[in-house]
Amino acid sequence: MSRTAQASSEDHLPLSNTVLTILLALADGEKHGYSIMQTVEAMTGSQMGPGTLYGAIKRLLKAGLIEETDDRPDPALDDQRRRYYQLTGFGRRVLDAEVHRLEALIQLAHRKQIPGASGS
Amino acid sequence: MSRILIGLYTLLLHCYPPAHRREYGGWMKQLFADQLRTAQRQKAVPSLLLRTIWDALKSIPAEHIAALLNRGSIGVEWMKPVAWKHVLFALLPGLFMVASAYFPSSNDPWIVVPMVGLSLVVIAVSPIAHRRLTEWALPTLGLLTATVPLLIWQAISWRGGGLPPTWWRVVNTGVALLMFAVPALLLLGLIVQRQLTGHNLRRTWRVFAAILVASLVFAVAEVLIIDGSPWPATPMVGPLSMALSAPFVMLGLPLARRHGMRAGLYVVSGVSLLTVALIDPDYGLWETIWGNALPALMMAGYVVIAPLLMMRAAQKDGKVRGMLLPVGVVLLLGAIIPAVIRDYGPITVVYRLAWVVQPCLALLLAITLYDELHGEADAQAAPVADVPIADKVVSSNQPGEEHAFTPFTDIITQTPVS
Repeated sequence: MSRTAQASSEDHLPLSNTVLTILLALADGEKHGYSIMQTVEAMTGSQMGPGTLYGAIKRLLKAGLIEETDDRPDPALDDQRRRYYQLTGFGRRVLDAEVHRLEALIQLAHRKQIPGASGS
Repeated sequence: MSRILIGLYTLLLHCYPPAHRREYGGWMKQLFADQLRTAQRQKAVPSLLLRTIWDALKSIPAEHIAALLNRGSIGVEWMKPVAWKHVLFALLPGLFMVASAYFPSSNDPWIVVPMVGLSLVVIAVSPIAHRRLTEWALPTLGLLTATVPLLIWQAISWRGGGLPPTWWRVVNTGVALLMFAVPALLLLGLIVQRQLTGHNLRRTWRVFAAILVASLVFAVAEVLIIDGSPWPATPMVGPLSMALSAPFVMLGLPLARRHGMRAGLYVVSGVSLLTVALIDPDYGLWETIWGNALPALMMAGYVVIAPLLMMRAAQKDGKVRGMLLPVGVVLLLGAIIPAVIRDYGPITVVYRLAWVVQPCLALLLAITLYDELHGEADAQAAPVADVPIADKVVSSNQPGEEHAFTPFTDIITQTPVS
């Protein structure tokens, strides 16, 4: 078993923005690179370039947070030329841990009555 | 039009590390083609091109750095920035050097001696006050290592007016070669000795051969292109540039071994890299409409801004970027601006850019030699991910307490999650 597989989910925190948005994009199912990029754009309003995207994908694969998959969300949408990626169980745990960490920070901000934290 | 742009992007992909390009180049190209198709429908091709260029500028150095440091982490890797008082103290020699650009001649001993003296004070304070060589002393150490031989070499330059006589050229070249070649020969001896004592240094020899070839090419280029004569007025740059790499490696090896990480080597070699270009510190810009301001500004990029960003970085990537980006910008400007102002030919510009190759090869030699002597163990030792999250809280260094040089493994600030 690799060292990354042995690592606990908290070991990877905090995630960079790029990694967090990619994991969020993959949270609702497997996607190929362009689809990840479109989802990230829809979520954040900014586009991710090929260099940034595939650099992050390489590190996520190496860390065992995502994996390539042969499954396709919809056979009609399948494109054999594309490589699809999905979250691993470990990747989902890391994402959960990061979300909880961010939630804890938001709660802390609420407790400190920071105006932006209440959404006003 | 699409085919041309995709072809250009394919060319751009060659700037990425080969392994990354082989694995992901095809997918990146396809993604760019998809983006281009969408942008054409939306009539937004120019903004896509700008975004793509910016993406490449960010990701190409990042991938090279990742390959160099064998980096695999996906999280933000926090480090302790050096305290401001130490940063400012460590920057004194560099600031003096920049200020000296306004003196009539930056080669005069009354400028060189204080600069070297300041550097020695900075380096000496570190082990005296902290009983070890701290991180903030390393940029100065690199600065001194790279600068002193160059300043000596400049100090013994011909001042008699007109072309120097042949006997002087021979003596000057001999002195300069001796000054630079002795450490080079020591390094060569070290490599041979380690090879004979059971180490397999195959990659080191390859890099060494590459340095020799590059040096030979520079030497021939200088003779044929720059000087136009078979016996240049100054010592030949090629052999010198090869020899120049030796002190950096010699200095970096024991430091890296002592601190058990290639990062130490990287810092010293990298900062030394910055000052190699100081061999031509004025960039041919003296007595131009730019006065001394532009050379001083560019010098500041090497000896002030890069060390400042590096020492104050709070993240591992920030440390590396802080060191390399100002250098890249200044090297590029150092080649282009004089070309515009002084109307240099394109070959000279290319030759100046080739200077970048030499320190990069020196850096590569240092890392390769260290890797092959000590294996990958140090590079993989104590990665950030091995530290439990609960321990990632600030290690609470007391005010005024300086910690040992551990630039790539220090974890200092991490908000605990309750």
